[in-house]
Amino acid sequence: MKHHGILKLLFLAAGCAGALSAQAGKTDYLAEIQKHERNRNRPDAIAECRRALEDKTLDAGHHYRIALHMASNATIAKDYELAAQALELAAHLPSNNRRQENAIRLDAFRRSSREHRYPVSLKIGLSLLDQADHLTAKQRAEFFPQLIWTAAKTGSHQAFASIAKAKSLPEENALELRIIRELAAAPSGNAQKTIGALPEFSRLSPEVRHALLQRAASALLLLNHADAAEEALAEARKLETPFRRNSCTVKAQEPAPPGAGGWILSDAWTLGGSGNFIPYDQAAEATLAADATAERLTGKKKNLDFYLKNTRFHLRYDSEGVHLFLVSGESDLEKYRSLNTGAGSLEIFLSPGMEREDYYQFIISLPDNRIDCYEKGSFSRHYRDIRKFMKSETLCRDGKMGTYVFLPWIFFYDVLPFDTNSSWRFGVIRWTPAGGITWGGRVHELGRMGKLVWEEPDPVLKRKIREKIAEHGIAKYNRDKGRLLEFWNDPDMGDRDFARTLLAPAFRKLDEAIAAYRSGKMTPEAFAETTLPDLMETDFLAEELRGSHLMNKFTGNSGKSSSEQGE
Amino acid sequence: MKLHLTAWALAGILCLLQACAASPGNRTAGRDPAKTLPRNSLEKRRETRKAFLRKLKNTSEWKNRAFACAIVPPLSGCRHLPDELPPDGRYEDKLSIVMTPNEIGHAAFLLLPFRRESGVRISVSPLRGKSSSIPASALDLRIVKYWYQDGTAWCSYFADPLQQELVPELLLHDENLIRVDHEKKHNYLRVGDSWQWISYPESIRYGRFNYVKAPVRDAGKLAAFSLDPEENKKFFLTVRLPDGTAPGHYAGTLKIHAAGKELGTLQVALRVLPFKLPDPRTWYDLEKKFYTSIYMPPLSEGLRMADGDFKLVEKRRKAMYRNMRDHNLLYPLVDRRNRGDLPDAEAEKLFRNNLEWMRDCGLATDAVFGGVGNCDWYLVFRKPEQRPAGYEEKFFRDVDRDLAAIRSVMGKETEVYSIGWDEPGMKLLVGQRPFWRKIHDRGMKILSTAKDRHLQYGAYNEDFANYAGTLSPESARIWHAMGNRITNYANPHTGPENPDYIRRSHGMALYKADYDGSCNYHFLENGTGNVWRDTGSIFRTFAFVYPAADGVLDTLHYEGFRAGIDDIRYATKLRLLAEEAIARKNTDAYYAGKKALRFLALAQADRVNLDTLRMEMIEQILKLRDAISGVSRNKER
Repeated sequence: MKHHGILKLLFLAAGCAGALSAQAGKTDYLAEIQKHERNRNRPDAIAECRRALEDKTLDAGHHYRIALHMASNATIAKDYELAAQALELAAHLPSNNRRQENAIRLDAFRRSSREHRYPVSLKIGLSLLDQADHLTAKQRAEFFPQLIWTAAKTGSHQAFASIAKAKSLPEENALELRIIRELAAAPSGNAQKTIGALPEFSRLSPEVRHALLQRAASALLLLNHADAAEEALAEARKLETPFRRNSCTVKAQEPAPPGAGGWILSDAWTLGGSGNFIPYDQAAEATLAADATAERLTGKKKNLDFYLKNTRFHLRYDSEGVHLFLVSGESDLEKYRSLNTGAGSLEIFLSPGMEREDYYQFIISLPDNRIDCYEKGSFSRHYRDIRKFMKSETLCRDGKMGTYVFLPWIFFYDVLPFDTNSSWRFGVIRWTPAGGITWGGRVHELGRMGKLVWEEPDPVLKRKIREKIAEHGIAKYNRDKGRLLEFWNDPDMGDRDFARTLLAPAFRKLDEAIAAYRSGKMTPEAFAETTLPDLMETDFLAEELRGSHLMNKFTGNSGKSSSEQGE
Repeated sequence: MKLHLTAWALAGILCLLQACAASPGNRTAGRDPAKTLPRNSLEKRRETRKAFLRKLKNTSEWKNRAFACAIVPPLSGCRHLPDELPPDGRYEDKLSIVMTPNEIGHAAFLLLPFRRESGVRISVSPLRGKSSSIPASALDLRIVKYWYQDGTAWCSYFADPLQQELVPELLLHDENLIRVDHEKKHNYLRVGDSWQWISYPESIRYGRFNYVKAPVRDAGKLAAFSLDPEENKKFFLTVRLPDGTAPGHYAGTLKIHAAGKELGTLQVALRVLPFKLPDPRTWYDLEKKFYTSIYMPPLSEGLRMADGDFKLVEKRRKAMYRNMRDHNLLYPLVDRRNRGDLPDAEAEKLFRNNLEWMRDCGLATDAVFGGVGNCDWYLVFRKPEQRPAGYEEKFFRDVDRDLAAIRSVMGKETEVYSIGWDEPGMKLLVGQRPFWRKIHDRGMKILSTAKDRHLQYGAYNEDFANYAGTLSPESARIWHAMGNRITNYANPHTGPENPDYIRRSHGMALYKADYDGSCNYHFLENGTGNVWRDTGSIFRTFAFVYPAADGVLDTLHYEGFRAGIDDIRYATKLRLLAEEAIARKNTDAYYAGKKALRFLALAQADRVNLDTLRMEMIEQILKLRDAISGVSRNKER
């Protein structure tokens, strides 16, 4: 009897020890896994999970928890196949509360899609369908559109069928599926009618309808129904607030005030101008950190209203050129003046046309007026170095900074607005200590920039502009011609054959044209068209001729440009 | 009554006449549209083109042909839009090319059709010289495809989705690989047998376009094309000379024909120069190489898109590397061994194979940029006690393994540059110090994206600084004073289609600013998911090339890059000969050398006509050769 009692006690002790040991083992696994997770050591966490899952002494509940750890770590480590396997294992293990499992499943689904692992993403997503009613409304609102998109991306009609049958499919997403199905089947051009035939669609708010159509368009494109996708987008566009481009009429003022001081003394300092700046899109502003080529002041949006109310600009033109005057109010002006920096900058974009034209970008630091120009092409006959032509100054007074920028017509001689009959694109962004504000869209987005509409000059002013440009061209040409002929005729440095056969004849033609212009035999317009470009770009002309000369010399060739062929 | 009727009839006739005058077909009656339109308006330019073609059609030179031809600078900064006359075109039927035997030459022309033709083909003849000929297969003719890209196209790499600009970019044998809808300003890409819309807006979520497996294929040579009198058609001719091509003059033809009838013939005149080009060296030190590097698409991404098919990855990468060698891109950045995403054995295989492919395809092996890590997030941001045991030791064992693999494939003396954290702030720059030291301890060097601020807290441990944006000779001077080197990116990033801009910014401008090379971002980035769609969130697609099923498709600006490096090779040749001439101690040779150097020193890299500069360099090189050989001949006498 005594022995039985002792044996019982021994068995009991052994059993407890075993249980305690098993308990300790479970705790060890989890502790180890969590330690690796704290250190973001996913490979070791996963390895520990594997060991735990192979341990048959652990009960289903523990295996379930470890499977979730495995899935979570595999997801973060981007091993989505492994994550899917772990989740499948978890699905077969009993649990009273699958909330965490669903959260991990949703996370794996989301991340795998972002990593373009569409087949496994679809697999994970479909595995969540049965549990979707346990998701929160917010999670379902994210999950179902993403699943529909993934089904379209993988071209899985079976997945579409499964989604359509899901009992927790929200009405909006059921409608989305219907729109996709019907637009895909509808003949081209029938989108409006097809969608109009869905009364539940018209009961939705414009925002929801817009989002639905965008999503349907994405799915249709992925399913190779590009026409239907375009039509769905067109329907979505009808719901959008149309983009309204800012516009500014550039009036003639002969003469415009010269320099910042002239503008400060005029009414423009306190009155008028274009002032409808808006806050720069914060999302776009945040991503500008990726632009390694320019540094811009970005603030935390405090006091932005002050800058919105106290920033405007004026644009005028006269016979000399284009005058831009910006008025930037600054409540801490004295602080920035003493440092000569820190008041932000003005970023300006300009293109002498609404399309087919290159553009210019420059940034003026405030209040020091340091200018950084960022060319967008090679300097050539058609794209010039703005630094050589621009004049700028910034003066401070009355709590404001007045920044003056002048660009002469000789910079734009070949794209004068009354010759091209075109508006120009113009954008100005003020980077203030409180953040960015913009008049013409976002950085480099020419499509969103404002429009400069040019008041037609009266005939006297137009003639004056042409004459000034022509006189400048003639003076420049005469100076350049002398220099070029002297160099190329130099017996040691030049090439007399080139000077004689190509350069001199070209200059003779230009001299004849100048004579014709001066004597009135050639109109200013004809002169501007046929002769002025070569006068303004004599160096480029000489280079082109030189290149032709050498090519002929090396290969033997003679050809005619369009002007020589009687254009 | 009769009078009333007559009056009404007359009035009716008058009204009818007025209506005829106002009808659309006769809207411009009595008005010459070309005369009344604003001088430089788009409408005027289109009318001018039409009027000019009508005139040309009746000239003796062109009347027997179906088109006029304008020879244009192949890498012109002008867009040569199809509905306008080329401002820099020369109306002739002779293409002229001057090149060295170890260079790839090019030429370009526009066909301005007088009438509509379809099924047009161009037959290329061999080029015959005095005693030898160049086979027709050495000449590759492609169409310059115009398509719609973002609003900043031609000029910039910034996204601008609200506007679409028509620009020339792709060089295709088959113009139908891309279809363009001018009304909607949309592009469609042929994938297999169908066309996919690739101009969808930002709001469409497309995900990734698997360009590795997508059956996007150009033809092997120029396919039949169509001619439309409303549009010019631009062609790009590339010449790859067979080894051993003798210097001299060669001539051949391009016969343009359709449905058995000849539409016209163009002449090709080629001059092969009597010297070869060296590898590019720097402007500030003729002993130092000018490196051409670029960021590359990750191998693991390619392998994933290929569903693990190594053979496919190999085929594509090799095609890419051969293409890069042809385009003077000799030092692409090398992927590190991908331990995170791939099983060890696969990662090892891919890493090693990649190095072998680079070597076998003729890329440079004297230096490798990348390939070896120096730190990671764990090492920089986690204290030793927070890391797995032995983490750092294992990391550097892997570094040693990778270094050994590189040296065994590329050569024992290969200089290896480990790449630091991208665009590091000062904290990261300082945080990398102990790990960069370990790299230097192992006889390797460091390449880091850098800027002037690095000079305060780093620079002593950064052997190669890759600077972003505007060139700064002053910064170059400072880095050189430490014996370091400097390259450039984002000036601009790849993407802007203007070949002259790319040629200059990667070539002479970089060279004359005393930089040691180019290391731009990116060769082909699938960042937004679909490389064929231009718009991203803030940037356009970064790419020199576009992906095809069996390799890559070239672009005009990529040819600009190649030409830019060739410009530097010509400048290097000139300087080497000039030094030789100056050293001859003969006044003629001495002066020739000095004049050549003077010419190059005065060339304004930011604005000089690069084609003329090239011709002038050739002239100077030929003079130097004469001067040197004249001295030699005199010595022999």
